[in-house]
Amino acid sequence: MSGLLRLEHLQVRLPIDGEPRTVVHDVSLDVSPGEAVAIVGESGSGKSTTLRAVARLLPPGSEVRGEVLFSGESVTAMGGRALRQLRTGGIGMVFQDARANMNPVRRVGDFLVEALVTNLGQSREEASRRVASLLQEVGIADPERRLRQYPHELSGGLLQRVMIAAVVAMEPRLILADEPTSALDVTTQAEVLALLDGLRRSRGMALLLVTHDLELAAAVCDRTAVMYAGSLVEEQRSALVHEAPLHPYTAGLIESSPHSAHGARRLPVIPGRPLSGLEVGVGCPFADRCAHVRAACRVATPPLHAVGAGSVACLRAEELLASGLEGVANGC
Amino acid sequence: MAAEPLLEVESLRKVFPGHRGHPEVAAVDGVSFTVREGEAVALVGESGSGKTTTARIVVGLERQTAGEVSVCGRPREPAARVTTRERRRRGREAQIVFQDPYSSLDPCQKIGSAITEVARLHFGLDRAECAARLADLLDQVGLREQHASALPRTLSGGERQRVAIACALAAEPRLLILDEAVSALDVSIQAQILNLLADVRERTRITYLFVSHDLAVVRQVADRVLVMRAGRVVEEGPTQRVLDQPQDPYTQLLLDSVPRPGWKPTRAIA
Amino acid sequence: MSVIETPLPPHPLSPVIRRIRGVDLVTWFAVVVLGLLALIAIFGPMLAPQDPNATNLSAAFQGPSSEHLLGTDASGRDLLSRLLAGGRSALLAPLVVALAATALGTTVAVVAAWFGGFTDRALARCFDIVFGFPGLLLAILAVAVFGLGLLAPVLALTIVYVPYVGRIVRSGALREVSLPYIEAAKVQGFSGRYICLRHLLPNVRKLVIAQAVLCFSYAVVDVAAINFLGLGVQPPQADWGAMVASGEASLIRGNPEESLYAGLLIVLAVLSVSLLGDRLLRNADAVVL
Repeated sequence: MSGLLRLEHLQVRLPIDGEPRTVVHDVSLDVSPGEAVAIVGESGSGKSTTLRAVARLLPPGSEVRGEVLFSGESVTAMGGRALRQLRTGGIGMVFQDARANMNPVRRVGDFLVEALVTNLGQSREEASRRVASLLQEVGIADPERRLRQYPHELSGGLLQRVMIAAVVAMEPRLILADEPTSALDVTTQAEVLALLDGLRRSRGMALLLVTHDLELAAAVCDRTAVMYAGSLVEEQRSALVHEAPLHPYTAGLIESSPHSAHGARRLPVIPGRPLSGLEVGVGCPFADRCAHVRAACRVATPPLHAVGAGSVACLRAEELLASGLEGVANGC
Repeated sequence: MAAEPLLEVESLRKVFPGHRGHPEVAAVDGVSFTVREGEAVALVGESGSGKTTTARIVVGLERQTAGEVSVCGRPREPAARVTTRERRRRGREAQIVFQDPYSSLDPCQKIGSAITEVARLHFGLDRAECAARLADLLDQVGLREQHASALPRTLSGGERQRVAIACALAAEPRLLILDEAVSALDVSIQAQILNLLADVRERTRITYLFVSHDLAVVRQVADRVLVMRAGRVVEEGPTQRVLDQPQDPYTQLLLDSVPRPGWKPTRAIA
Repeated sequence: MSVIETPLPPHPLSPVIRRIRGVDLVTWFAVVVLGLLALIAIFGPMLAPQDPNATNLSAAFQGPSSEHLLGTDASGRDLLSRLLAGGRSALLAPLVVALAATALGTTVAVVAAWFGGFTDRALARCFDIVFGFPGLLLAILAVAVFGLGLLAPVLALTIVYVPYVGRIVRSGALREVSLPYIEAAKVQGFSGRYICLRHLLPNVRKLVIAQAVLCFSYAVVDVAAINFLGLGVQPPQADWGAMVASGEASLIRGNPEESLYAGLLIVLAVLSVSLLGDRLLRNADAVVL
């Protein structure tokens, strides 16, 4: 099986207060060419760290164990040149805050031209000719004027489009997107997502999208992976996540979302707060919040195993699935 | 509905002066609405719609350019200085909870002190009464007594937001404004806080004014919705009606933009 | 009843950058030196083995001996006793300057940040103007007007150092004032004065302390200079700055001890104080920013 991106038991330790501490415990995930996969999780779940590990954008002093393979090559073992090649041609990255990732004293046009010149080796003239059509492609009206403007003159939505234009221009095989729309208004979010989705499909690029929003993940990604406390707990086709969640945590997230409440005065809730990867002890990290917990759950961390068309890290998954995974989130 | 109007906003207008070549902006441009006692009303809109500015004017954090705001039947003059008496009365009329739980608590102040400070200011409680009131408020917002001696730094986002709500409730306000109070929280915590707000409302018949961009949250908590865009109210009505049969195209657009199962993002609808 | 969120460990994702954990060697050095200097300033005159002002011309320029541990000066006065006695004016005068300038600067800064708008602009401009005055010159001018002694220069230096504290504290306070916790306190019905004292000041305290310490180190130099010029402490009273000056003549004749020891103590004081201030400021920024 030749995936484009393959994570095998990825474990990441970040230097926190000078000591390396495990933030991501165990993530195994495949992304095929042209496929869109979402990593969904709450704060502290390690979803962004996982994404950064793929692009080797972790802070100095971090330790990565397990394997990150990009078209068969180990990203963790890459040296300077291979890494540069990976970042210019292999993967492109879209961040949450486009503004923070652009030089505020340089014009938007210069930013794009520079991206093309340095990453694609195009001449300056060639690049300048191309940027206007690039902006048009990402749905920016009046591109000539926009190119002459500075980042602070553009709205967040427009800047995110510019970022997407810069990434897409490099024709990467995989786009990594870290909450690309969570800072945007809903209407803008819909447009930016549609844009990203359209460009990706038309060019056959794969997408690894990190988000906290299960609904959004389902809308733009073929498959959804759910992370909790630094581990991947569920992974299956997005279309099925809402109908038949495999892990009690996913089921709880869906039930407690106001989207799915229909006029009930109270929402079902998952008790407690989401744990971060740092706080995980022995056993299932979700055990303390889970309504279906058994003594066995606290003994060892349940391994990710195949269930139906997906996989899940829950000891009681089969049993619960058979009985219908309901009442995970209780009414109190 | 024979309830008294608790909050009346009449032709409210707020113009921010432009600077460095930018023209002045009317953040709020002729907004009028009424919130009755016991109601839960939501101001919905995107950034720049003027919803937050409206809320800030109501609690006196901004001064309006024109228009009237009355709380509990008494107009709030946009005066630079108010008397101590008036300031405290306003505190007992309306309170606000902000979006960011990380910056809305004094980092140097213990939780218990933050809550009792408000209760003492308004009700002049002695030591024993203070302790009782603190225990009661912590219980109301689902915190334990040990939390009282903690600094905000040691609490999670959800816990901090509970503290912020407790501080606001300590003044026993008749109107509580929630300015995107759950939008910075994790999904599983958001549900807990929404339930907490529902409990408080049931127990105290407090009036809520929600300021939110999240239509799902609004559907969950509000009886009535005002949809705002560019400083104006474009649609108003009962939540059910507005969200199920929107009359205004902008409301429809907002609804269509919310990700949900089976939804596909579409381009260039605006 | 809503469910409680479980235990109370420091939240791992807390945005507040943690304090610097260990205290490094340099800081230890600074603290220890400062402690010793403080002891000299407080108890020095009592510890002096001999009368610091007792002259004995026949015992001039003696080297270290059991009687005079550090030797004697041109008038045969015991150097150790004079150094111990001279610390008080050299350190306490700058301390008064630093404390007074900090109190004044912080008050003005908080008032400016709280009221904002015109008040803020006007006070900030005042800071800029005062900031432009050369401290030493103003102190000398004050002596010219009010006569010799430390009182006039201390007052002058206090005024000059107000913006050193005020400008930094104002920028910190401005940042805090716009935060929701201050706004929440306003809506809760607290008076401006209460909010400033109870919420604003505690949150800029690290900046205040760091600036006060730096101010103190500048003031040590300035006060030493005033005394060196003979405008402050008057002979025969011992003072480090004055001792550097009175030792000058002997220095040329090959007896550098008086100037050297006094100068060394001043340098030690300034060095340790500014090292400490520098670290405090870095620490304060890490938390405030």
